[in-house]
Amino acid sequence: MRVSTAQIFENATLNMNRNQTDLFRLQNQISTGRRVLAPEDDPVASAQALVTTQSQQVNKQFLENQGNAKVQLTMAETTLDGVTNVIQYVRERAVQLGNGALGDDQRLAIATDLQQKFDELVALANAQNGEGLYLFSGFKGGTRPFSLAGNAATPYNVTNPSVSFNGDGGERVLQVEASRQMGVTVSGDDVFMRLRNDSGVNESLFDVFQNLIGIAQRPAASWPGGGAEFGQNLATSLSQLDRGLDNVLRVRATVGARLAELDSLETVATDLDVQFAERVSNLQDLDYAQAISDLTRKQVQLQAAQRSFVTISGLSLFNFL
Amino acid sequence: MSFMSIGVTALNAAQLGLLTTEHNIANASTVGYNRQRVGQSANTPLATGSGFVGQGTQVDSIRRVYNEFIASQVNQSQTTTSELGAYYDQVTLIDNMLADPNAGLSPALQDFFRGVQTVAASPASAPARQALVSSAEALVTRFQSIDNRLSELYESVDGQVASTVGGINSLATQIAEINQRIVVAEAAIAQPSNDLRDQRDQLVAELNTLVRVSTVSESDGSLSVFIGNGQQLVIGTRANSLVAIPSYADPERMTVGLTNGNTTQQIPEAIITGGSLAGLLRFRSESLDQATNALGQISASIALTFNAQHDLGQDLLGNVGAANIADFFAVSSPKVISHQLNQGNGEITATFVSPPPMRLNDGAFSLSFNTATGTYTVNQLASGGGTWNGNDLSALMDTVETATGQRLDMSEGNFFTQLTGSDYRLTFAGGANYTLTRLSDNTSFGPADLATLNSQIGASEGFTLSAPAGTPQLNDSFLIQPTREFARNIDVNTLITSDPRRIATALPVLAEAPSTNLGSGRIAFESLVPGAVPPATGSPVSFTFDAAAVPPGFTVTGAAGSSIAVTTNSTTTVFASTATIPYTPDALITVNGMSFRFSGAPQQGDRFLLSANVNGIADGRNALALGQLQTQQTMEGATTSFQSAYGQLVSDVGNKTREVRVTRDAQQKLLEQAQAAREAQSGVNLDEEAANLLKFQQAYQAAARIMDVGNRLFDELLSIAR
Repeated sequence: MRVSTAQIFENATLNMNRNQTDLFRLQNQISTGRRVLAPEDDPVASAQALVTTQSQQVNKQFLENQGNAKVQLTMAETTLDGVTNVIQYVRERAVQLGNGALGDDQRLAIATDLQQKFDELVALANAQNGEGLYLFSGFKGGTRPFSLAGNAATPYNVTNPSVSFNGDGGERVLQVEASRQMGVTVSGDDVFMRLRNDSGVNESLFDVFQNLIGIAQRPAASWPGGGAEFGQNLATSLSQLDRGLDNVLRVRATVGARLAELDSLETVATDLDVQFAERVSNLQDLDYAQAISDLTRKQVQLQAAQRSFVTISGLSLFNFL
Repeated sequence: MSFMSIGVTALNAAQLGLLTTEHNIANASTVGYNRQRVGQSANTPLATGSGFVGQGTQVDSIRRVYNEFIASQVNQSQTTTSELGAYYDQVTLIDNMLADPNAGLSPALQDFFRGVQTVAASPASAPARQALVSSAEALVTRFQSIDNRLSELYESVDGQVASTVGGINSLATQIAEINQRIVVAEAAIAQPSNDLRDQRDQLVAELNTLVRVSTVSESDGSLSVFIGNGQQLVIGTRANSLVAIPSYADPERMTVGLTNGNTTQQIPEAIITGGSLAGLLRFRSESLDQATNALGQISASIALTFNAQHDLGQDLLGNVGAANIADFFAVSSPKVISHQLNQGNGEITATFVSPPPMRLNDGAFSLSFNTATGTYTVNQLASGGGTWNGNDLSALMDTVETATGQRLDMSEGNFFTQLTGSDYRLTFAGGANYTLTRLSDNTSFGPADLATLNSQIGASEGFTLSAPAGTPQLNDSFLIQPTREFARNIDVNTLITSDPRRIATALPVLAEAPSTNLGSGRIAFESLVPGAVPPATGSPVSFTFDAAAVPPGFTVTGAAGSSIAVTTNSTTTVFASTATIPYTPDALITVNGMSFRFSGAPQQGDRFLLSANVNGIADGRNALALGQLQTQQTMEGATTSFQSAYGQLVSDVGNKTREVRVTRDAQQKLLEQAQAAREAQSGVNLDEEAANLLKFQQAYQAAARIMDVGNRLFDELLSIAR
C-alpha cells in the first residue's frame, strides 16, 4: 500500500492524542475515586446509584424518626412509671385507712397526703415534652389536657368529674419504616379517664383518688351504717385503684412493645444502611488495582508511540540527495 | 533535423515532469491537494520505406490522481462524523449536569422530603416549618437553575445554527465563484484545471462538515450542490442562501430556511441530515426537548401531587378545605403556541388536571374529582378498563364493585399525574372538532369537540383544553407543551413563605370516642379524598352503638342525606344515613369522603365521633402523607416515583450520550479508513517525489545529450562539406 507523507504525521498525532485522552480519563477516575464520571460511562449504574442513594437517604430518615419515636415513647413510659408509683403509694395508704384503730385525725393526715398525691397525678398527666407539647392531650398539643372541674363530690364519676379532659383522642404518629407508622403518644383519655366502676359508670383515676380522699376526710361518726359502709366504700376504692393500676400497666405494655419494635427496626435499618452504601459504592466506585494497572499500560503505549514517531519521521530520501 | 526535434520533445516532457514533481513537493502539506502526474505518449511515427520512424514524445495532459468514489466516501463519513460530533459536544453538557452529585436534582429532592419528615415529627415547631420552607425554596431554585442551563443550551443552539448557516452560505458562494473560473479556464484550453478542482472539492468537503450535500457534475465543468432532499444550494455559477429564521410552529426556536430569489421557505428539520447543522438540530429535537420536558414533568408532578395532598389538610391557623388551604407550590399552565401560518384567530388554552387522580388498589384503579362539578370518576387503569362517574362516592364504590367484582380500597391511595414528557399538536378539523396528536409517538385523539376530547385526554394525558376566544380556520394548528416551561416557573407560594403556619400538616378530621364509653370499641381514622366534607366544629358525625339491633350496629347522626359505604373482606354495601350500620369489626366505612374503621367490643350506647380537629397543632398526619409522596408511584400514570423518573431521565440522557459517542467513534474509524484510502491514492509521498525528481532529472540530461549528439552529427556533415 502507498502511504502519503502527510498521513504518516497525521496518524502519529491521532494515535498519541488517543493515548493521551485515555490517560486523562484514567487520571480523572483515579483522582476522584469514581469509575462512573458521567452517566454516559454507565447509564444503568448511574440511574441505579441515584435511586439507591435515595433509598439510603430515606432509610436514614427512618432511623432518625425511630430515634425520635424512641425519645417520645420513653418520655411517655417514664411518666407512666411515675403514675404507677403514685397509684401504688395511694393504694398502700388506702389499705392503711382500713385500719380500724385510726382516729379521724390520723385519717385526715392520710387525706392530706393523698391530696398531695392527687396533685402529683394531675402534674404527671399534664406532663410536657421538650417542645412544650402536652404528652397526653392528643392532637391538641398546646392544650393543657387535665383541669380541675370544680364540681362537688357526689361522688365523682364521668357525669360529675373531678377533673375534665380537654385533649382529644388523636394519636401522634411517625413514619418509622416504609410501611409502618407508629403511634408515639398514648391518649390521656385512655390512660386516666375510663375506669368502669361496679355500677357501670366510668370514673377517672382522678375521680377514684378524690372519692378516696372523701372517704378519708369523712368523720367515722357520720357514716350512716357505721363501719360496714365505710369498709364497703373503701373496698370499692381499692378495687378501682387496682383497675386503674391494671389500666396503666396495660398502656405501659403497649408502649414497651413499641419500644421493643423500635429496637428491632433500628437493627434492620442500620444493616440496610450498610448494604445501601455498599451497593452505591459497587455501582460507581473505581477498582483502583485495575485502574493503576491500566494507567501503567497506557503510559508504556504512549511512550512507545512517541519514540517510534521520532524514528520514522527522521527517515527521508532527501537526506541522501 | 529529426534528431533535434525528438530531443526537443524529450526535453519538454522531462521539464514538465520536473515541474509537476516540484509542484507535488510544494503542495505536500496542502489540504485537499491531489498529487498530479504527467500523462505522456509517443508521437505519431513517420511512415517511410524502411518502416515507421518514431517522432519522439508528447505530453497529453497533466492530471490529478483523483478517485471520485473515494472522495465521496470521505465526504459521507465526514458529514456523519461531524453531525455526531456536534451532537455529542452538546449532549455531554446535559449528561454531566444531571448526575452531578452537587448540581443534579437528587440532593435537593431528598433535602426537601427530609424537611417534610421533620415537620411531620414536629408539626407545631416553627423552626421545623421554616426549615421546610427553606428546603422547598432550595428545591424550586434547583429546578430553575437546571432549567436555566437547559435554556442556555437552547440559546446556544440558536446561535450555532445561525453561525453554521453563515458558514454554509460562504462556502456555497465560493463554490459558485470557482465554478465560474473553472468553466472559463477549461473552455479556453480543453484541459482539466486540476488545482481549481482540488479547491472546489475541498470546499465541498468543508461544506459536508456543516451539512450533508449531494453534488452533480455538469458538462461545462461546474458542480451543482443540493441539500436536504434536493433543495438547490448551488446551481452552476449561482448560489442560493440559507437563513436562520424563527420556526413557524414555535417562534422561540431558530430553524433553517432557504432563500430563492425573494421567497424564503422553511426547510423541515427532519430532511436536514449530516454535518454539525443536523447534529445541532437533532440534539435539540431529541435530547434537549426530552430533558427539558422530563424535568418539567417531574416538577409538575411534584407540585400537582403535593398541592393536592396539601389541600386535604388543615393548617396551624385551623384553615380547612381546598378553597381555604394555600397551595404549597405556585404553578404555571401548559404552554400553547399558535402556528405562525394560522389563517383564523382561534385561541386555545390548556389546563392541568388538578387535583390529579388518586391511585387506588395498588394502581388497579384511579379516583378523580372534578372540583367544579363535584363529580367523582373512577377509572380502571388496565388497558380497556372501564370508567364510572358519580357525585356520591359511596354509591360509586358500590357501582364499581358490581361492574368489576373488585372492591375499591379507600384506606390508602396517593395522588399521581398522567402527564407525559411529550409535546402535542392540536389541529382544527372543522365544525367544532379538533384532532390532538401526541408528538412523541404520533398517537392521535379525535377528531372530536373539546368536551369529548377533554374527557379522553384528561384521564390519559393529565391536561385539558379550552377555546376561550376567536374562530379557527380549517387546519389551523397549535403546539401544546404541557411541561416545557414548568421547571422554569415553579415556585413556593408566597402565602407559605410569608407564613409557614399555613403549611397544612394536620388532617381536618379526628376520630375519637368520648370518656363515657363503657366497651372496648375503638374507632381508627384511615383517610380522606378530595371533595370530602369534614365535620364542622361542634357538629361531629356520631355513631351510637345499638346492641339490640339485628344485627347489632350503629345509628348515625350528623350525616343526613349522605350514603355510607361499608367495605368488608367480601363486599361493599351502601346504606342510607338513616339506616343502622351493621357492625363488622375492621370493615372500612366511608362517609362524605372520609374512611375509618371500628374495632373491639362496643357496648350499648357507646358513641364514636368523627369531629373537627380543633386546635390539632400536634397532628402531623397530612405531613406524613406528604412525606410518603417521595417513594410512592406518583408519575407516568402511577407507575414510577419522582426519583425513579429522574433516574430514568439521567439514564436516557446517559444512554443517548453513550450511543452518540460510540457511533461517532465508529464513524470516525470509517472516516480514517476512507481518508487513508484517499491518501494512499492521491496523497504526496516525498520519497516517491524525490525518486521522480531523480528520474526526470536524468531524463532531462539524456534529452540534452540527444541534442548534443544531433549537434555533433551536424558538425560532422559540415566538416565533410568543407
